[in-house]
Amino acid sequence: MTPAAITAAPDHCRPSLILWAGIVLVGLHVLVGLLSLVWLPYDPTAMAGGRLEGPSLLHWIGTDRLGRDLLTHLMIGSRIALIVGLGAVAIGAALGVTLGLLAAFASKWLDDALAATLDILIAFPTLLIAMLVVAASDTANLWSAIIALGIALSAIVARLTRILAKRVLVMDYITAARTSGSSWPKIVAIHILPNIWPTLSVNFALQFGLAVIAEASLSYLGLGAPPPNASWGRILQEAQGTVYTAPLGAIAPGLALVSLAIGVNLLADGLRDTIDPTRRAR
Amino acid sequence: MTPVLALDNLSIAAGSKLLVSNLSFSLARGERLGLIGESGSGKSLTALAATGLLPAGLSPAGSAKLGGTEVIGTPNRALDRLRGTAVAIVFQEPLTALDPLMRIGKQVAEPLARRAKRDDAPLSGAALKQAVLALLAEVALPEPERIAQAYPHELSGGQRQRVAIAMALACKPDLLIADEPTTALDVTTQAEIWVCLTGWSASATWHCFLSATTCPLSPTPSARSWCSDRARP
Ligand SMILES: Nc1ncnc2c1ncn2[C@@H]1O[C@H](COP(=O)(O)OP(=O)(O)OP(=O)(O)O)[C@@H](O)[C@H]1O
Ligand SMILES: [Mg+2]
Repeated sequence: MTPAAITAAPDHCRPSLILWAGIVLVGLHVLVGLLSLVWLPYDPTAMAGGRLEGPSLLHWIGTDRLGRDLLTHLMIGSRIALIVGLGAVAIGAALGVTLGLLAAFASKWLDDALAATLDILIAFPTLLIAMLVVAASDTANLWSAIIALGIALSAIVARLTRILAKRVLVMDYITAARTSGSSWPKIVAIHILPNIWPTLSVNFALQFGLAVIAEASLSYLGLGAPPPNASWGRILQEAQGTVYTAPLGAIAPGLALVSLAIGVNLLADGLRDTIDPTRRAR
Repeated sequence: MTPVLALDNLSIAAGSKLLVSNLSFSLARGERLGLIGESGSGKSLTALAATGLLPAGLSPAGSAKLGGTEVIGTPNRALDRLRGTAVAIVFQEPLTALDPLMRIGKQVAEPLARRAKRDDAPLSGAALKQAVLALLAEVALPEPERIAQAYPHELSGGQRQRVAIAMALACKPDLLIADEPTTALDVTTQAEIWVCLTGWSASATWHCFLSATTCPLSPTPSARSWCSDRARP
């Protein structure tokens, strides 16, 4: 083996590269989302140009079938996607972590009952549960979609939390903390949550992506927020009929969606590598 | 005088399977006792039962008294007060005995601060840090400052075990249970850990400890030892 082969692949560069890629991608969406609050290229409801125009200096990504500026709608979409992702994950995390910890600490039959319920819930596709919740609330708006997705995601979070917490609970340092008189709430706060967090946070990032995609699907099905605060899913739906004549109308929101989902995952991966000392060391 | 630990006909069962049967002994202040038995004979379970921390699914019977207080059948909440002061455990496996995500200094500070609070002499800030460093030095860890800043995976097995001992000592327990504190270590380190433990128990004569050791290997520095047979169902 040559010395070059041994010194190749400087491992310590890898986490920071991932982290930076994540920061750049997510940061871009955050900036655009914030910008959309104070400035938009065009009025999102107005006819800003001809129908189905291609990209031009006036309309960077072109216009839709009603002549509205697509970039304007994509920018609003960034904001909506971030709100949906953060909101759904926050609700899913709060509900899921609480439930999961409860199950991990519960007596055997309660734990079994909770675990079985969660498995049944998870067997239903997230989207289906969300559709049911949205259908049950009479107005389809952004918040009903967020709450629906949050509830749907909480089952996945709860199951993961339960398993992770149980794995930590059997560790000797937990028993040692118990022997030295530490209370359960304290143990949860200083030992269990920090130890399950690295895995949970990566999962939250996945869920963020899932939530954004699921909201796009809800919108696509007409169950999301109505324009002018429309999400990427709504843009996709409206571009569907003209996808052969003006493909950019479908490609652009798709790319936006994928870039945010990937960005959040890279960010979570990178962050985990920096918070976990056993990884950071390498 | 009430014994620090008194087991009377202690049995532990997993369902219908008997894992420990009718174990009785008692341990007075200042005394050291070694519990010897082959692997799987129930030494670790006995230690856990004595502190009321048996894993779910295992049921104890008989009596185990810590400083006169019955442990078997007593609700966990009632035992919490007892646990910080009456007993502390050092476990067999140094790898899982420490929280992998917490700096050593912080882990040792936990029981130290709790004990100080119970003694109505709360420790915090610089005083707590000093106490942590002193304790790390007491268990003969080199460079206490560096070790306090380290994470468990940055220490050797022997160093980790010393930290676990320091955490147990931080509770100033009446009884220190050391469950094969040296089996996972090499022979030289084993000897050092035993020196550390016996030195401590000799200097503080009001304490005593119970060490559970596999029979022929460890030089048990116990004044008295107790051989347990494999429990017969
Ligand atoms: N949670 C459990 N459920 C059922 N059986 C268990 C459980 N924990 C331990 N046992 C059984 O109890 C017996 C005693 O286990 P214990 O850990 O006390 O052994 P030990 O004497 O400490 O052995 P070693 O020297 O290897 O540590 C073993 O046969 C083991 O299989
Ligand atoms: Mg054992």
